Amino acid sequence: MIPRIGASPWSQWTVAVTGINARPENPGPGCAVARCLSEASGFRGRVLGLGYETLDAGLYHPDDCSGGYLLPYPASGSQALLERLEEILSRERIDAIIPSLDAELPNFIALEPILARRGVRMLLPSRAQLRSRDKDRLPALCAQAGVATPRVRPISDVRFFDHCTNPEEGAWTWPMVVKGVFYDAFVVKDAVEAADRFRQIADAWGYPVLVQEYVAGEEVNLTALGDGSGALIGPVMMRKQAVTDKGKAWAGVAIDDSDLLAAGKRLMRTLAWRGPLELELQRDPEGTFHLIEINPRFPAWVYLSHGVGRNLPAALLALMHGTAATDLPLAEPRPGVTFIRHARDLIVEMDDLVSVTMTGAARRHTAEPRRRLIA
Amino acid sequence: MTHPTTSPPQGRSDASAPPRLGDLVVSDDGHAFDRKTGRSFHINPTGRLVLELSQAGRPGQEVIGELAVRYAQHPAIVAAALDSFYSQIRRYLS
Repeated sequence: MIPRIGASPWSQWTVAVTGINARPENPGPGCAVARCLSEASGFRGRVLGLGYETLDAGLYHPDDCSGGYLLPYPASGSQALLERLEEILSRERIDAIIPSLDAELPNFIALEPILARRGVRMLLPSRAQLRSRDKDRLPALCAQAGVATPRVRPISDVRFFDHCTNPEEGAWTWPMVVKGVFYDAFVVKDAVEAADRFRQIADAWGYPVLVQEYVAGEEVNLTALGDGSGALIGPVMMRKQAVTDKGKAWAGVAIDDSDLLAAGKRLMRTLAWRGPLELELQRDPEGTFHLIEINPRFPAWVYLSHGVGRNLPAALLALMHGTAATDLPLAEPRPGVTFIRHARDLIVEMDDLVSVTMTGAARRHTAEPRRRLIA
Repeated sequence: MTHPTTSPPQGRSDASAPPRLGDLVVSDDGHAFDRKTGRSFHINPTGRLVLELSQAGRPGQEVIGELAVRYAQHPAIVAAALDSFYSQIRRYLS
């Protein structure tokens, strides 16, 4: 049973959500976050989508977002973001923002006190916390938390792969994982493939590129909230059952693993994280968990949290409002509940597209059910 | 889906139930779900009965006795089959 959230003040809020791109092979988490809020029992507020591109689906999806705006790309910096948000705030009230993309976190962290003075709430990690879960810093973090993690090394020279198996280069073994600082990861089997992926990632995300030891096993994920106290709040655990070409889950099942939970608690205690996060771990054949990544936001599969009665985006709003973690409406874990992601076509009228292209703002959608096309 | 079944007697049996049996959720039609790992498999009616008895905390010798009566088999044959079944379940739960 999914608990009701009642008539809390935050249930009337207007909440802006980023990361509303929805490419089927690698969707942003924003649409799932928006959907969690829209379907949270008792939620009477509005959800706005904040996108970066005209074709971000969340800008046009009336079931999830009742309107939306384009933002400047994260590389434009925090000042450009602030100017755009002030423009949006002059048009409508926003009570809370849930950033859902890694790359935009530094800008939102920089703006948190300024936006707080404007009445816009966010629950975000500090800059130091964000940095401590960078991929190249995971070994230090995990040593402190007592969690296993594969060796990782930043590289800027593709010739590394020609010598990496030599003892003086660290005696790396194939396969290994080549990954970008923010996004993308590829398992590579030899130096030729590794060099190709290195160039691909460097072209897309710049330097350095990271190499990480490959851990065989099955991937499990945990998403939860932190309030800065070190407590792991509302954990939802999931095992991927099927993945896309990019390794993103398109089907997964909720699990209840006490060892995974214990690892999550140790990491959260070490980080004293504020806000949502996702832990990605690999369970090796001996049952040891190896931390692969920590994502500083909700995952794209966060709708499963609603499915198991732990609507984490709604719980995040409650935390922002000051509700104690112990009073959050979180059900007991429901292992066995499965999600299957699917792609659907969204029909967009030309006027809607023109509005976003020309003004950066989506036309306001009413809460009426989906429009039907009449042949 | 796989189907753990019993097999002919093989060596000595200690009939000790695998650890983590409590993590298995078994439906009436034999679908077993491991809540810890998220893995699923199918169990035949005999296996379901064994799990039911084991999860209820019945000692191995009682499980053997119950099966021996119900299926009219010598306890030694049941013990060996149970041992084989448990070792298969151990693999699924590892």
